[in-house]
Amino acid sequence: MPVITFDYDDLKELGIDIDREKLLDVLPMMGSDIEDFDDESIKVEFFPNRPDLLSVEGVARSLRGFLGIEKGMPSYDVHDSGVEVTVDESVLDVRPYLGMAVIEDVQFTDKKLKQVMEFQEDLHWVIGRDRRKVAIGIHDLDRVEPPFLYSGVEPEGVTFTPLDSVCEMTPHEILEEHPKGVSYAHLLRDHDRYPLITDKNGDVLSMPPIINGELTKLTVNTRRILVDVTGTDDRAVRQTLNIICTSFAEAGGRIGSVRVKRPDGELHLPDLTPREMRVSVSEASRITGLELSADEVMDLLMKARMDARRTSDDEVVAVIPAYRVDILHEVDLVENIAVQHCIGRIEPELPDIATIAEEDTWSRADASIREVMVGLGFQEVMSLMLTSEESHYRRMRLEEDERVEVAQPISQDRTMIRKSLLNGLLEFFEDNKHEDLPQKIFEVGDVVYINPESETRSRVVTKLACAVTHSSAGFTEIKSLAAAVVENLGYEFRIEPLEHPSFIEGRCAAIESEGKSSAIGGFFGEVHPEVVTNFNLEYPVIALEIEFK
Amino acid sequence: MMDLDRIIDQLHIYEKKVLKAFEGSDKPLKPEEIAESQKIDIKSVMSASGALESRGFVRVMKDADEVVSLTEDGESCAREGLPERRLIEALKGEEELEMSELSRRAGLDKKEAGIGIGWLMRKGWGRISQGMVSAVSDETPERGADERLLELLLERGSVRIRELPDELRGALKDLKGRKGIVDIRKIKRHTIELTTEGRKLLERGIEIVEEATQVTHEHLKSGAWRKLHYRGYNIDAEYPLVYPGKMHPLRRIIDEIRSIFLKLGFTESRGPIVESAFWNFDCLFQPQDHAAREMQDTFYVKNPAVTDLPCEDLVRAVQDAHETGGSTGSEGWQYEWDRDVARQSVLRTHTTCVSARFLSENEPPLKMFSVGRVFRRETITYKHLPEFHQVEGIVAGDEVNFRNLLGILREFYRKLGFEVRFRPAYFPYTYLSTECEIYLPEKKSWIELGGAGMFRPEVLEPLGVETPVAAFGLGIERLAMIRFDIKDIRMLYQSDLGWLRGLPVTGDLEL
Repeated sequence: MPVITFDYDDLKELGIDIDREKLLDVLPMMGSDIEDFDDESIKVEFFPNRPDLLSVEGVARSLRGFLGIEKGMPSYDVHDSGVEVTVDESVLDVRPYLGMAVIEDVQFTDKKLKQVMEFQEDLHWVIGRDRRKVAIGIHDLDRVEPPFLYSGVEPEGVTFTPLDSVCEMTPHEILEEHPKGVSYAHLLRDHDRYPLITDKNGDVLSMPPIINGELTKLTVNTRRILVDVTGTDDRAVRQTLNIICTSFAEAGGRIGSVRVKRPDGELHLPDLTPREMRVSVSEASRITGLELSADEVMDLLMKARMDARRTSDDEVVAVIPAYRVDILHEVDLVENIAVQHCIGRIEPELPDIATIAEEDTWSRADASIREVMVGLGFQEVMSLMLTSEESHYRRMRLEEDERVEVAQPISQDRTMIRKSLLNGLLEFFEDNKHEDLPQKIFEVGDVVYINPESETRSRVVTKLACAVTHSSAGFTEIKSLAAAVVENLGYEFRIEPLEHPSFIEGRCAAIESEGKSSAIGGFFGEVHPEVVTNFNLEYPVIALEIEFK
Repeated sequence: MMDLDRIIDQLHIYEKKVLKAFEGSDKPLKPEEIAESQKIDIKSVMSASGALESRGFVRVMKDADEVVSLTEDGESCAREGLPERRLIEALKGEEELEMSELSRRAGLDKKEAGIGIGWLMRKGWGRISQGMVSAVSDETPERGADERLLELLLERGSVRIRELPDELRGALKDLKGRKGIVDIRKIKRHTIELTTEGRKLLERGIEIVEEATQVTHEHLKSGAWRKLHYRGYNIDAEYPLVYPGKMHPLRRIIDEIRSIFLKLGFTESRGPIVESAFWNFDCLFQPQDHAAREMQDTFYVKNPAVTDLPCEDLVRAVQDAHETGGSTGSEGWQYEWDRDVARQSVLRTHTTCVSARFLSENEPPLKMFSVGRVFRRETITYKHLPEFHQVEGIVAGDEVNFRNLLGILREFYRKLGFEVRFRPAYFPYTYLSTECEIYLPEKKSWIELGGAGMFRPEVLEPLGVETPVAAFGLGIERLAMIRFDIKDIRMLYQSDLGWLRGLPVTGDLEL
């Protein structure tokens, strides 16, 4: 999740002059996590649904409302900058959407430049899905001449100097050699034309979504900027442009619109027209449990930096600024109302619903199994369900069979979901060789089988396994234990000889028994010396595993 | 005086016998002497002496001695002469001999001959020039101290080093330096001495009576116990440790949480572990390009790679909610929803899918909870595991509101022993999303433990739920780490048996 860092002084310049203690209290209640702070600055994580809070200007705008310093929807003037850009047919297949705006009267310091860069990167991540959906370029407008052209060019069709480079490169070379090109090459590789923004003279501003040109790099002397936002999702492109423009406007910039000429028509961006959404006062009261009047609802919405007007006794219409991308439904307005009221001030109250609890049948079975095992002196252990073929099959002397396999495992030893609990128990012994013998352990846990007939093509099965190790652990001991377990779970103890590769031949038995509506199956015996050795153990091991059907 | 009697009564019969051996003697005794006089074996003398020593009644003095003896090679050297002796003998009467001829005559193999020649030079008995060996003198050299020592050892078998005459001590050093001739062993000699305390016991009078240790079936059946004297034990003696069978601490917490939910009237449910992206994400209104759905956070499954989708009505409704908001009043995410993406299998990333399935099958009003394993693509470290337990509860009913959610949460955390406070949060499938923070008095701080919110209409309407639904959940391992004060989450799965054995079952409960 995005974390932004700013100084207390930054907030002061933006009209928020409160002491640090108060700020540390207020920020979380507005909806954020404070990661860290010191005497000068603070690191805050905002939620991914609020990209408008990824700049300190956006935070200040929201805080002024929350603190009651400034309420209602902020208004931003947009004048016609006279700048034009043409979206060429050739780019539509690659990255069809472009938004553009001019911002004048901007002031940069080195710190501000750094913050702008971080803002841009955070937006790339949060709303841009790592530049796939949306990518942003911010340029020094005075270095180039409108009108601009957004077109698709051949990989070797042009050369320009990319940002942080000294020599001219073709788009193809950038993807192969430039660090940013290499990182994001996957976004363009499948296309035969790459997007490019050029000016009247053919000078290159940007090669979205990879890199800007060195030519239009921002400096502390930059006074007018051109913002380009390109992407694969029209809505996200416009939203991003709105968030950037209004953030600069909060810092004193003047927004100028750009005429975007597309093959299918023409539009002026940014379009900061607010949206409207109705909220029912009685519904908001009912769901929050607060007794709210229409006036209160309106006031709280205005603290959330929206405008609000009453259309009837029960209905308020919220006017939502164009930078808010998180309001999808009336319930989001209700949430804004509650947050502005302050979640911490809402009094908890138990619901008045009478229900009768029912325990899951399996949980009851689990408890009985554990009662028997604990009674027999076994320590319960828990293992991860993720295991590996090496441990689950090879070290157990078993052939691989059908199993749930993970597509991109985190490591070699967590590649599949277990079908048996035994190797987990042996790994436990391996980890605890230094502890006193005898060791008697058990696990009751879920395993997953492949089952083509079910909706999820898999089946969760509960198993019990236990294992004992000490210098004279032998077949009779595990047979006694198996009989005690099976009979105490209400089944008849019926066994047959079984050849199981994990056990010594002739010292393993299968259990099969049916109850009234259920059945168990399993096996027990003396673990094969090769298996014992595979887990680096030095004393005999006996084990039992039972499946509940 | 009573004390002395009690002590004497607790003594084992062998301990008494060892003490008795000192009657009429104030000198230290050797174990053999005690064994002899008391008619018990050496081992019993030693173990009884050890026990008496630990209580300060005797002192066992250890005296280490080194004993030297001949090895097999050493023995043959002692019988047939050291290699240099055999060489000088073979040179007798010869001006000089070529090396190999000399060793042949001396009956030495190549290695022995090499060693012999070396010592021949070193002892100044012979010289070598251009491969020819000759004696320095016509007279046979006298036997050296090393040879005399060999003879002594051959005769006596083994000798204590400190008993060797001084003149042979230097020779021992030489022979030690020649590998494989002599063997030096350390032996311990014990003497046992009565302490003043022990003397007091002895003077008090020790009576040796046949006594019984274990009460036996025979004693009880025959009534022999009436006449037998059962020795008292030293109750401070060492004892073997036994470990009771116990439940895993994490399981104990799970049961505690289950019990809280059951008391609050929640019905328990379970669900699949391999789950479709549909149930895990789509029906929870997580857009298909949501960051949490990416490969680096979620375990996608290679086999079975795809699942079936539930009934078409539900799938359509979910699709509409995503694309346009459908009839939910939402704007939706405004993109083209792909049912193939929804069919992918994942290891469930939360138990919220269990809640969704339950809601699709049950009519409100209802309260439900589930506990289960969930999976996130995290590398195993002290802080993270790729799988952990989550518990989730939902309350659905016409009148359910946000204050009720907070009410249930406060009650839930109170039953776990925590004070709770709330602040805003964000989850894609809830509104009025709330983070729960609990207070840790010993750390004087609030920490996050659990999330909550009201299910969004985009989630509920496709599932056919018409009432508000309050939902909350938390990670159980985190709670366990707080409870057991452990810093490393791996402890819970790759447990140290010693830790499990040592952890009392009572937890926070004071008996």
